[in-house]
Amino acid sequence: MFNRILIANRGEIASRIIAGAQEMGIETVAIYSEVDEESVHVHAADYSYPLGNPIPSESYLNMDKIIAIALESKSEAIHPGYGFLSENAEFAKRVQEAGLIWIGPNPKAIHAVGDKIQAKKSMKAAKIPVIPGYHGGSKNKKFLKQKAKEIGYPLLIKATAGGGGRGMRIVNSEHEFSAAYESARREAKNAFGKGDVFLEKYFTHIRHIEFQILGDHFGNIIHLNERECSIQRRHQKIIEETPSTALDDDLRNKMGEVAIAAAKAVNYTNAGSVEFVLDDTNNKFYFLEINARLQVEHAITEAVTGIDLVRWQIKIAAGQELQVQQEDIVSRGHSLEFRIYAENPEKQFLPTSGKIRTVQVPVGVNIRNDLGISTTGGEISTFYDPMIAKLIVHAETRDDAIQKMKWALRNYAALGIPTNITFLREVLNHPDFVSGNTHTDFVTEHYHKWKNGKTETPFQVLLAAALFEVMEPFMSSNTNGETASILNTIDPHSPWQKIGTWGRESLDVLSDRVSGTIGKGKAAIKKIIPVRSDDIKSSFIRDLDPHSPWKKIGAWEHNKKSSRKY
Amino acid sequence: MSEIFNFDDGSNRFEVRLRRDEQNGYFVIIKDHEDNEREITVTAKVLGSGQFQFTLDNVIYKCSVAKDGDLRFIHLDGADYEIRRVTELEEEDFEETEDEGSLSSPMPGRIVKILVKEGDEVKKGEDLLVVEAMKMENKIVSPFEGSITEIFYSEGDQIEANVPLMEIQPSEISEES
Repeated sequence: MFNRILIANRGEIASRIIAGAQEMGIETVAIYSEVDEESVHVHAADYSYPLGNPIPSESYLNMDKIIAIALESKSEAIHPGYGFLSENAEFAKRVQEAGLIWIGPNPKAIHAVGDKIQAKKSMKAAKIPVIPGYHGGSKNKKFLKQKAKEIGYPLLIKATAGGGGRGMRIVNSEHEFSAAYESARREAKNAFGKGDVFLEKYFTHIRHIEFQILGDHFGNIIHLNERECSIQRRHQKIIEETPSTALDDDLRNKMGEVAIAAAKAVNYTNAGSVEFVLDDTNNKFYFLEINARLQVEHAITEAVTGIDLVRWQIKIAAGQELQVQQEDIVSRGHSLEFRIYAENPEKQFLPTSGKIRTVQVPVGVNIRNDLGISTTGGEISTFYDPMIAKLIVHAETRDDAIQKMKWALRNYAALGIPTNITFLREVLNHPDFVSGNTHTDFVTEHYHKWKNGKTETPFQVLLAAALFEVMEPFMSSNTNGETASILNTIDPHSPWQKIGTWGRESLDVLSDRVSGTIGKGKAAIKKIIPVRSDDIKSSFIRDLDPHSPWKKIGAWEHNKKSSRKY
Repeated sequence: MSEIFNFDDGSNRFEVRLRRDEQNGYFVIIKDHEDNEREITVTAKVLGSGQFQFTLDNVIYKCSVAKDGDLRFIHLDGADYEIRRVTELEEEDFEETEDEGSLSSPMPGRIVKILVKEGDEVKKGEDLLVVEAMKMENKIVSPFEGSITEIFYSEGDQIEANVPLMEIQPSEISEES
């Protein structure tokens, strides 16, 4: 097993992978761009290295920098998370060429599924049903327009190298074609470096079903049942659940077998998802694509199967054989994931940015919070994805899961900028959602031009606002230094008076890093000598009042270190 | 001694008078824009940063508040609210000075394409420019019918949220909207 791995990502997914690796006794290396210096994943890791410039191409997409840091930090493997370089076959290959292990599908498989046109051809050859379309690779607009006519409208223009709804346009009629084509090409070129697109029949009333797969390097490949991800806006998922209300055991087994066949067709290894569209009027399904990465929504599969996908990703990469077999996979109960985004549902779900001042998450039985920012708040920057957090619940039945999610969302507060939380609360009450009648057009059909329906401000809100004004000085807060005069107002003999400085001390120590450079010329990166979290704590203890009771916690350090050995 | 706070919820103004009782109690008078008054006796307790609870007629309300300048984001009883604290100074010169004819960016990002030029006549809903934010292209459309008098940016420019992007002279038909 690895001693140390680097996580080439940020936010919630980096934190999740860091926790998973640390559980296994593996040390973790975080990387961060300038704007992420105080991000959750940096504090969660054992080591941290700066990437500098926050622009993605200069930070989380910069292969040279990331590989240099992996080598410098003596990491043995790289986990890419999702997004960024996770499905970049060239990066995977370069990681391997640098003598490191890539925690993900083999580069050949990434390449085979990454080129959507090539992937469809491989699937066709393996007799897997694909959506009718044109995948010929022509760049001739006139010709493509002709092909579009043959396929029939509405249709989808999609980036060959696309994902996450980028470089994708729905075309409802012929006269919209040209503009949509140009715009899709441009967006694809900016996001993926390649402007190539293909055409596909667009189904307006279908379900999006994906199967989680896991494959090892011994030829074993299993699926971990489906996730339904039909509820989307801007072609990106916001709500996922498993099991799907549209699948019975027969259909599940059939689709699962096809998913495995699809993965085998490209010699897939490690974790991935085989995506299908399902027409639930006739139970016909078509292969859409394979996502060669851990998915955002992997947690709901973990909830119902009890299988830790990140743990298996790491084990498989380390050369272990899958110990779970297909017949071992049993889903229990029902799991839902709601994604909390910094966005404005009243304005076509446009991303918002700015400072989140406070995050309070619901805590309870079978409720999981994967957070991209600290509970004391943080900045949602325009450089990266505006997802704030994922809220995952698990219960015995779908109705119970909905009830639990309702409670959880009511008790969720992410305050400071517009979010989709109120919108999500409403979706939970929609009769079509409650009855499981969910399709990819759910949001556009039911929530076109949605407005927050609040009419009058309850008097309790005004009361709360006024109480906040008078009580604020007594609330300790670690944002903006608008802190906490509570310490000055309490009993001068209180022992708490002594620890007044600890928040600030620890921060000073954190930023007190030594600078240098790695590499030369263009590839040179600013290096900050990493500070072990242990060092931070010990120096912070050193700097404290010699009479402080905190001095006594030295032994805790010792325990923490020795626990790493297991 | 009582303290007075004024709030605006976007459609109405409210005045809240608050006087501290003994212990953790407060006597509160909330007055709405029609001068309807409500008197409340309440107890309150700090729970943490931005978090507190108050008890009103034996009902416990747990509440979170965050502030950004004069904005107050309030989470109460399973719902979120956004209101603005109004200081008395502002109240005197309350007149809104909104730039009617200018079009502002709804989000920060980069201008990918400008689809109109100065002097163009545009219809309501017509595409004006394409802004890329968070790697997604977003079309910005004309809020009314009019003619473009000035464009403040060019393609490739990085823009902040809520900055004017172009000046549109509304045509007379749409004036009433």
